[in-house]
Amino acid sequence: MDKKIIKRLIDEINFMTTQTQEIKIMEVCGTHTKNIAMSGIKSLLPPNIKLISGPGCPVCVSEESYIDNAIEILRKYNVIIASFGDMIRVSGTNGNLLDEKAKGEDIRIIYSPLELIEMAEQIKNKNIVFLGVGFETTAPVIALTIKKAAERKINNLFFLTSLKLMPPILHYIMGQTINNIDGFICPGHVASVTGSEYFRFIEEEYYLPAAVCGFEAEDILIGIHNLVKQITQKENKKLNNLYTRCVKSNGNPIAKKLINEVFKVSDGEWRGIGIVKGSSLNINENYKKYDALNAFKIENKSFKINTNCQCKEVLLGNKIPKECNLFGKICNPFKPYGPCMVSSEGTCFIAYRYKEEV
Amino acid sequence: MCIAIPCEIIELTNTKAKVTIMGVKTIVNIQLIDNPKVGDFVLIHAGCAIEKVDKNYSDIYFDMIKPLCD
Amino acid sequence: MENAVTLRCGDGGKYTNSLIKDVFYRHFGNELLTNSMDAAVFDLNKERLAFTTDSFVVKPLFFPGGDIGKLAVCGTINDLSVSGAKPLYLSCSVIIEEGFDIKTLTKIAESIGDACKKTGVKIITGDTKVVEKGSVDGIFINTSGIGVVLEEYNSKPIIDGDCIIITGGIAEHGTTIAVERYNINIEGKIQSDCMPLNNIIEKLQKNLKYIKIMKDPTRGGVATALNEIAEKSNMGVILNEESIPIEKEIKSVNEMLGLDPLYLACEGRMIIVAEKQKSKDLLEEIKCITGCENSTIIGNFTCDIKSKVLMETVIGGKRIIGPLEENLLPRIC
Repeated sequence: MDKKIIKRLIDEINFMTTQTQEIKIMEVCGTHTKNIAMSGIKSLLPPNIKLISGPGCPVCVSEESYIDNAIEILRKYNVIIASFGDMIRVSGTNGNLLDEKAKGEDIRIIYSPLELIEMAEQIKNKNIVFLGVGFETTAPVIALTIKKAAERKINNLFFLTSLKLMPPILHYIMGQTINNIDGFICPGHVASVTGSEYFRFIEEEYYLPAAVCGFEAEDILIGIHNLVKQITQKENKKLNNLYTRCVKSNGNPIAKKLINEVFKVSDGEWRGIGIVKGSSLNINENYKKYDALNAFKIENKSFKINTNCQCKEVLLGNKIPKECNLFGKICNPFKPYGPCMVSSEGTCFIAYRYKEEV
Repeated sequence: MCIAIPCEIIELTNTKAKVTIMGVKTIVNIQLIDNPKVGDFVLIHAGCAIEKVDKNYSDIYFDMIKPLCD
Repeated sequence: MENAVTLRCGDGGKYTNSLIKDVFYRHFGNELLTNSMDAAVFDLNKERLAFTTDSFVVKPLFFPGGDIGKLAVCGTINDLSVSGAKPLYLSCSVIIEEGFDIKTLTKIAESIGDACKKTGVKIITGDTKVVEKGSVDGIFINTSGIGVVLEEYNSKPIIDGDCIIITGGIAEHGTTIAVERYNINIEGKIQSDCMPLNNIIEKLQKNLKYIKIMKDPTRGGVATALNEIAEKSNMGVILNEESIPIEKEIKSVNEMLGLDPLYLACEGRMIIVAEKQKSKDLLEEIKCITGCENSTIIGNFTCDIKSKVLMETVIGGKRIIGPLEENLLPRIC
C-alpha cells in the first residue's frame, strides 16, 4: 500500500469532479462493498460521487424457496446439512437453518466444499446435503467437488445449488432506465475465473465504462479513478482490466471447462427481484444424481415477494438503505427481514454496522 | 462476494499444494491450475486455487501514477 | 477409579466425594478448600473488595494455547485485575455430562491447578454436579472470584485526550477457536493468548493513579469493549487502524475466513485508558512486563463525538466501529 499513490488518486478524483453533477458508480460484488466500507473510502470521496451496491452477494439473493427446500429435506430425510457460514441465517418463508440447528438438527458450517468428500466417506450411514451458493468464482470449486464425488463413487453426498451468473443481472439492471448508473466496478475474482472479456458487453451494448478491480483499497480507488476519468472527460467508454495480476482476458480455461462439464445455464430466481432468464447454473444431466432436488424429489416452490421488503430496489441501486421503511427498525442484523441485512456483505447490514450515511 | 487471497506454493502433489501466506500454511486443491510450480503464486478461494497470480505483473495504472508521485 | 463420570458421582454421597478428592483436590487442593464445609471462611481487613463471576462453555475444550480449565481461572482473575484488584480466592463449580471421560476431566483439573499455582490464587470452595447425557455439552464451569482492590486504584472520569493502550496483539483467542471449530487445516503460529493479567496490576502499582479505567476485551473483541467504555463515559473514541497490533498469522487467517479481528475475543489482553501526559511513559513500563512486549497506544478519547468509536483507516478514511451485532461466521464471499 503506497500512501502517496492513494493520496494522488483521491486528489485527482476530487479534482475531476469539482464541476460535475452527481456520478453513480455501482459495484456488483459484496466483497467490494465490504472492503469499501472497511477502508473508509467513501469518507475520502467528494459528495457528488455515489457508490451503490448491486446484487453481488449470493447469500443476499438466495430465494426464500431455496431455504424452504433445504429445511424440507432436513426435516423429511434426516440428513446432515453442510453450508457456508452466513447462509444459515437466511430465512425462508418459515424460519432459517439457525433455528433448525437450535432444534437439534445436524447442520455443519464448512470452509471448503472439498471437505465434503472426506466427510461423506467417513459418515457412511447418513446423507449429506451441501448448500452450494455462490457466483462464478465459487462455481468451479463446487463443480470440482461434484466431479470428485462421481469419480470416487460417493453415494451419500448431494448438492442443493443456488449458483448465479453476473451478466444476466447486469443486463437486467442496465435495462432499468430509472437507474442512470454511470459506471461499473466489476468483480475481480469472478473475472479471474471467467476472464475480463466476460464484462465487455457493458461497453459494447450499453456504452458504459466498466473497470475490473481487485479488492485492496488501492485497487478500488484505481477503479473509481478510471471510471470517473472516463465519465467526466467524455471519452469513448471502455472496459478496463485493472486487476491484471489475477485476471487474464480469457480467464481460467480449466475452471470454465469444468463449469460447462457439470452445470447447465437455466433461469434463476433472485430474492426480492424474481426470475431472471439464463442467470443460474444448475447441475446438468451428467451429474443429475448429485442434485438434491432430484434425489429427494423436492418440488421447487413458487414464491411471493413480500411487498414491504425493499431489497429489490436496494439491490438494483434504486434506493439506499435508509430510504426503506423497514431499515434499522423492523429490519436489523439481529432480526434481518430481507437479504440485504442478512449477510455481513449485504448493503443494509454494512450501512447499519458502519452507520454510514449511505 | 468472493473472498480470495494470494498465496505462494511451497509444496506440490498431484492434486494438492501446500501454500503459505504471512506465516500461515495450508493445503489447497490445485486441480484448477494449469502447470503449477513451487514458487508460483495462486489465488485461494474456499480451499481451492482458482487462478495464478502474476507477481511480476505490469499494471498500466501503477506505471502511470507512480512517476507522478515521486 | 472409573473411566467415565457416572450419574452417581453427582449424588452427593461417597462417589461424589471420591470424584472430588481424586480429581479436583488432587490438582488444586489447599487447606482452606479441604477444611471448608458448606462455605470457606477467611479473614480480611477493612478493605475494598472486588467480586466477579463467569461461566465457561467453550468448545472445543482443548485448543492451542489453553483449555476450558485455564480459561476458567484466567478469565475470572482477569476480571478482578482490570478492576484494579489483587485476586485472592476463587470458587469453582462444575456441571459434568454423564459419561464424560475421567482422563479428560483430570487434564482439565490439572490445568486449573497449574493456573492457580502460577498466579498464587486459591480455589477455596466449589460444587460438582453430574447430569444426564444430553443435558449439558460435556462440561460447563463457573468460577467466581474475590480480590482486594489496590489502594492506589480508583476508576476516574475519562477526559478529552486520554490515551488507549492495548497490551498485545488482538484476536488471538477468537481466531484460534474459529480455526478449531471449523476444522480449518492450517499450520502456523495460531494460538490463544489466554493468560492471567494480575502481574500487570502488581507491576503497575505505582502508576495506577494515572489509569482511568481498564477492561479486558473478551467476547465481542476490542470493538465491543471500546464501545462499552465510550457508551458509559459518553465520550467518543478515535482509533488509529495502523497502530492496532495484530500478528500477521492472525491477520491472514482472518482474511482467509472473512472474519473481522476487531470483534474476536482476546483472553490475555488488557485495554488501559490513561492520562495523556503519562501515557508514553506508562507504555514503556508496560512493555517491560512479560507477555506485554507488543503493547501500543491505539487511539484516544475525544469529546468531539459522543458514545461512538471512529476509526481512522490505513488510507486516511474514516469508519464507524459499532459493537458486535451478530455472531461472526466464516464467509464464502
